[in-house]
Amino acid sequence: MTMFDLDKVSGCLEKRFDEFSVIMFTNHDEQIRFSNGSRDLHNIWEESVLNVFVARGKRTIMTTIKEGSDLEKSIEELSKRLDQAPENPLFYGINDRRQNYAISDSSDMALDADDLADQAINGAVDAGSERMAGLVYAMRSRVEIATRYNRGNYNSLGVEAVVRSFKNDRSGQACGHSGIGGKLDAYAIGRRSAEGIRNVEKHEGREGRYDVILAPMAAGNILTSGSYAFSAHTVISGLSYLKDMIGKQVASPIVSIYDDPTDTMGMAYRFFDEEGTATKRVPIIDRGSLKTYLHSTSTARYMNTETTGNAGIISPEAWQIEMSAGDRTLDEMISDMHEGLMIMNSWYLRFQDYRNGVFSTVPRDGVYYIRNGEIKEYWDGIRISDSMPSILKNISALSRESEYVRWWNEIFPSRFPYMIVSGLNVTKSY
Amino acid sequence: MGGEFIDRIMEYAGQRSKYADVRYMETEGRGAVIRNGEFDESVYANDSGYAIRVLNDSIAMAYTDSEDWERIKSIIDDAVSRSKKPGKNKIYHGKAEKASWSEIGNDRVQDHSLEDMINILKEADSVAADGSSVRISALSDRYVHQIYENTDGSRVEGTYSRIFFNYLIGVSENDRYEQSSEEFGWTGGYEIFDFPYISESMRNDVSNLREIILAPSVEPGNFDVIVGPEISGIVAHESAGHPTEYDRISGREAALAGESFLTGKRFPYRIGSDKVSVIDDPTIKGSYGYYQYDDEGVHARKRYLYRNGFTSEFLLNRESASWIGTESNGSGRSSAWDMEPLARMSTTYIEPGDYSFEELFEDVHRGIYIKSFTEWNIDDIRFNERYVGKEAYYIENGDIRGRVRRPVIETNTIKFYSAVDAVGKDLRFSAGICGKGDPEQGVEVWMGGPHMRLRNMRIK
Repeated sequence: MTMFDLDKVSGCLEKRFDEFSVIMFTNHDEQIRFSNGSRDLHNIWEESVLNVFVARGKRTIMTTIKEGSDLEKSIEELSKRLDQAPENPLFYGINDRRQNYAISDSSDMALDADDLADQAINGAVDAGSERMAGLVYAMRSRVEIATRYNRGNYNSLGVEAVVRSFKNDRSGQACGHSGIGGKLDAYAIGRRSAEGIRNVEKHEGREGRYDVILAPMAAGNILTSGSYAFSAHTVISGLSYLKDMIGKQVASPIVSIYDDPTDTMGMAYRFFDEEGTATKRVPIIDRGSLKTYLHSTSTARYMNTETTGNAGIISPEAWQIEMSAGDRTLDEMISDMHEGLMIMNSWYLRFQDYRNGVFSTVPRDGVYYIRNGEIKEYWDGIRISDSMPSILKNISALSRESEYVRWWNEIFPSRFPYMIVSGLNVTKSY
Repeated sequence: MGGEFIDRIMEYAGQRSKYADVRYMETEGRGAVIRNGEFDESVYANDSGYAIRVLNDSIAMAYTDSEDWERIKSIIDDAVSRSKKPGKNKIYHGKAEKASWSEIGNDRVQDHSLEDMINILKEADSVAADGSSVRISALSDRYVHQIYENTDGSRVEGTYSRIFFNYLIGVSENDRYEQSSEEFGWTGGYEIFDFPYISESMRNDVSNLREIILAPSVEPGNFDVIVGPEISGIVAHESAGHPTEYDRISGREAALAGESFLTGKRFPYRIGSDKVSVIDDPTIKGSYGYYQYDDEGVHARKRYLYRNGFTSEFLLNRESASWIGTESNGSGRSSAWDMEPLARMSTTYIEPGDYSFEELFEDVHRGIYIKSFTEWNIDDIRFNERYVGKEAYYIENGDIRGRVRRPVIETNTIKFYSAVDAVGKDLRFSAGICGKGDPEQGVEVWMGGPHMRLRNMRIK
């Protein structure tokens, strides 16, 4: 169904510009949304689009060209607009080295969004959910890139499920995602959403500093929101809490964080970045020590280092964050806790101070008070009010089990274990 | 250009469904960013496609950017087939609308070059350069043309443009850091773009941040609090607009944008003081959330969400209106051609009262004036909420005294609205991008209100 000829497009761009990168996405995606036990909507998307970056000297511009557009006219318009742009002092070219891509083809894999939706709903119902809401995605893409130096393509496949279950006035939420290397168990996600709801007495939360078990969704909300600081572009802008910290201890020694777009078990796998650099597993924090920022060719040349394969040509970003697992089980974490909390999920994280990573976020879908190794109370009305540097340094235990999480705009595709953060600051509204 | 298949799509989908509608939308958008005085990036995009909705035993939507009839037909067939599976299948029909509207102004966004945009950004940056350590300014505009048709005979054509400016300024001193981010937006052409207002805001922010950074924190306690229009605006949006979106109340958004504390309540439900009414009004000309017809072809009108301390009306699109057997009140909005229309806000504000600014302060013995905010958030039923003050002052015996740094209101919706005992006569708006749905849709909104006085609030 592709309507563009990438050879023709790159031929046009090559003649007119010093540098270019053109990525063509041809997508066929399906989504089923459901609530209160039945389907609300079946969405089907068919789109093909070109994302184009061009440069002449240090003048840069980005555009999208849609299917059916007059290609010559669009490129003429782009050229005209590029002439109006000032020089971009942070642009130092795109990757001009020949790249080899580790392509895995997924074209034969079957996806059935309807079946996944049924499984997710059934899982929640079987585990006692009184009502539930959620969605499943089944996504297929053909991805092709051309630059002056490299060409690459692959077929991409991703599935995702999110289910939130309710029992009386309590909720539980679970999510999961998978790429070609994994298998999404939508039934288990549905079950987990309801099984996570624990039947203990409800109390108002109490302010203070607590040792807190953050479940993978809660950890994902906090740590992926804070991942802006890993980008070299953010560091250069003066907004990263990790500025001037390369080689220094920025987290607890048990913490290792990677960006791993090569993990095809997760849905956000990709084989090249937006300037054609082959992606790789990038250690960002290794046993607490900051190893690198995430780079494009331009930010790497500016900082006198190598690209990490994370372009965004102007602003590099993480593709799929992963935190190394630990050696504890969740049950051990709970039973060893003298007094603390377990927070299953969190949302609406907002920063009052990007430079120091100061934020608050609202826990949800199960906040449990633990005393002497037992879950005693269900809390509501609380908020985590702390900072990214403090949380990274105070992670005191990690679980063996970890989960692939992604949820709405709250959690980027990532993989996290359960973690204990010591002395996490908790405030409350009422 | 495209859209030539809209009538054919309507006919083909309509013949195969109990109800069908189609929206063709084309957009052209430009944007540029300046960071710390230097050009950072510019983008240009044009986009178009069809959103086709069919209803049989359930509802399905197909989105395609193709102008090839065979491919369009194929995706309609797929959607029709999916809609024959069981699911929810109610939709509000209403009367057929035949209309067209336009709000592109005289100084059209397409007539402005990238060079013009960069010049505006450079001038803005220069206003804030002295005394700040971080500055990011972004300007974007978007031209939209869309046609909506449905099987009930509606055909609504709309053309509009919107302009958005946002900035972030950071100030560092002695290991302390303070930041401010602000957003401005309008619907229309560049004649409505209020650069003097933006530059005044940036200039004030730099000087304020330099003083805030040195200010003392508040000793936690109970105070009378006067909040400025920026706070009353975010409160109106978060704790009146969102909880009255009926798809939240019904649970349709439960796993995503969340539910509402109004779920399961009998209406009208008491929210707080009778001094407070909250309005959502898409018809305010020039506002960032302005429209004459929503993205489901329903005529827009003003609606009271809370009236004199009680719930009054919900935000409804065609789907949620059908669940309670009433008319859509024109809240169906979609951020792009490939997104479903959801019940959304437009311009949400607290209705002004009759107090002057000075009168609000007159009998405050010990209080805090919080003029603007930095961080905020609210839980998924829009009840447990927090607003961290940016520009804020002590009040003693009716007079503004010294500044305070980051005072925090952490409360709930009922407590907040119940504490209001006086509402000012001034009214001011700010812009925002409101998120909802999955894939997440950011739609353009305004929010606002007057100064308000709240009695005996806990401040941290």
